[in-house]
Amino acid sequence: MQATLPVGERDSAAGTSTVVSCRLAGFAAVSAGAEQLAVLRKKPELPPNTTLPPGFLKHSDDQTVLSLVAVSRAMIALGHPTASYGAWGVVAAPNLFGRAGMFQAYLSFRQEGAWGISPHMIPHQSLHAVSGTLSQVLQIRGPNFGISGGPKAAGEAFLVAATMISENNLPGLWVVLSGHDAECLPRPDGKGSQTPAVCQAAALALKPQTESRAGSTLLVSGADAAPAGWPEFALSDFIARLETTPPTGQWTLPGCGWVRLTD
Amino acid sequence: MSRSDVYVTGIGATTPLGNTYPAIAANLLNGTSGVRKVTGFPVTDHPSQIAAQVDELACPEPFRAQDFEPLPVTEKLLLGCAVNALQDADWWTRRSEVRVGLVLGTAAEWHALWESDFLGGGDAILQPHGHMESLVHRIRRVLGVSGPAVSLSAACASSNYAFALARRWLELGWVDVCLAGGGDMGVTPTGLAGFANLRALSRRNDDPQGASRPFDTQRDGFVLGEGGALFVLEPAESARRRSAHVYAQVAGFGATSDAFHMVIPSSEPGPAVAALRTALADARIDPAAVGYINAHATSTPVGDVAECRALEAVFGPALADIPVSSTKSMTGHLLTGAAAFEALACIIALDRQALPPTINLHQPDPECHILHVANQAQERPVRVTLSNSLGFGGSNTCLLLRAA
Repeated sequence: MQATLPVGERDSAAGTSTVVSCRLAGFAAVSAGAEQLAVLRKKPELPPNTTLPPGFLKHSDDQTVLSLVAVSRAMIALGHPTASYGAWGVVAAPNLFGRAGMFQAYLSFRQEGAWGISPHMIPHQSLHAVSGTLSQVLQIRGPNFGISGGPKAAGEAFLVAATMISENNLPGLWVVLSGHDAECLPRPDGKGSQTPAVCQAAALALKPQTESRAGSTLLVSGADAAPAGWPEFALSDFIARLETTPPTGQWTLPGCGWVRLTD
Repeated sequence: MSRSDVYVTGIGATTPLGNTYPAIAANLLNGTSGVRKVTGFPVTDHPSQIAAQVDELACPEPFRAQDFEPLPVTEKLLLGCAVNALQDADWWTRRSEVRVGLVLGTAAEWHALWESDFLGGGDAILQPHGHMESLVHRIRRVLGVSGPAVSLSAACASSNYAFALARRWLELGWVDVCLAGGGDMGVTPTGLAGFANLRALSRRNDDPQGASRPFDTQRDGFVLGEGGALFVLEPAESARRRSAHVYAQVAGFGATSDAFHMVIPSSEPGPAVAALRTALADARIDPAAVGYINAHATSTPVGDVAECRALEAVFGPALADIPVSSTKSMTGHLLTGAAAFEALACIIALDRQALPPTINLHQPDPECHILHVANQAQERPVRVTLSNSLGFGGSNTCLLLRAA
């Protein structure tokens, strides 16, 4: 941890109490439109020696499919065996998750009543579906859960991720942020979206600062407001910043707190 | 700050067994079932027609009914619990003096909003939401608190994760006080149908109060419930300094994932065992010191046995002397609120020195080699409780609470 002050005391000049430092050991960002998603749904990119039963992702949300691709690409880039992530955790912060699938469910319910509700709705359209799927496919056996599911989900993910990394009891944590640019609004007839929407996902491999020196650093504080002038966190902006060399940026988080990406 | 220095000093709950601590404790220890035929929407074409519903989402003081009533049901639930918890902890009038954080286990705020609107003829689901605040941030704003706020979901395990994050925020100094817990109002037309079509729910429609029967050979699935609870967590030093009433100490937490199936728990108990052992190690408690286990046990044929195998692996011969019960027999399954209610049940056990029962346990499954608290509460000294919550998505979590 950096810049730690005793609980109850704050350095008003610095405006910080405890800042958590995480190593960004690797990352991947991916985006896809509807056509590409349809292909990835049937045949997603996977790390070596990882297999999926046919149709496994058939009932998954777009954000689940793309999140799996993002984590897979990050794992491939890192070059370690998939089994090496077995003790890691995975948290996922999708944005307005399940909207398309739930709209289909409501249309079916209106037509057919209870009979029309698919048994796949609960496991694959619930907020924990992304992290649960990643855990199952990639055999990640540490903690797994979903975060927020709202329009600003990604910001909350940093508070959660930093909290978990600070415990120093996980070798690493996959943090997956996803959403659509622009917002994916279903058509009233249930056949696709009103306008083309690009699905985005960013997978971050975070490690405790003590674990590894490789990679950039994420600093997170949940205690204080960001310095004046820092923009509000936005997934598109974050992905763009990840792809600069070196990746840098700083953002204020929803409600309280801030995150800074630094070399 | 050492790991064990976090106390629970306030509780706010809205549950199928009541909305006040005395009422919930009385009903729990009396073995009262909150399950009945679903009301509020037609269920004639639903395979499962029973649930443990919340009777009332009461407007908390000092809010005005005309401001509270129009809120979405999940928001009413959690806002009410939050206000009541802060009042119970005697932080309500002083909440602006400290940094109060919020960690909510809740999964369905958007689904509940969309479904309710759609079935009422609206089209909110088709409209942009980018400008909207999430429920946790609306509650943060309405409460007028200044700390960080997040919501999360690991299905049934959500609220245990909320406890763990809140405890860590206190240790990090991000908050001075933290609300943690969870809940959902999951008894909705599509929710009830979805779980039933997954073959997860009991179809004992002619005997609602007998339907949720964890560990019984005649169990046929869980009963859907709704409601939740929020808890005020604060450092022990803070609680002592202001002579706060202390319910319990948050002693330990552990979490793993099965990585097996999105719905079915793994028959291999290793990951669940690891979560239990991590929690015990975190609390620095010997397994034999646990005085009561609140099982996850939802009344499913597979899940109840799988959990017992994990308990056997962790506790060994000591398990024969540790009473185990599943309060889902009375409340049904509160989904993201389940772990919160079960923490409350553990607190009641510590407070009343009496263990809540598993009701409807008439033919214990011989595959479940545990010491049941069968059908009636049991007075018994207890200082350490353990609550398992094993969620859809493969989550295994374990929370230890200790008498302060």
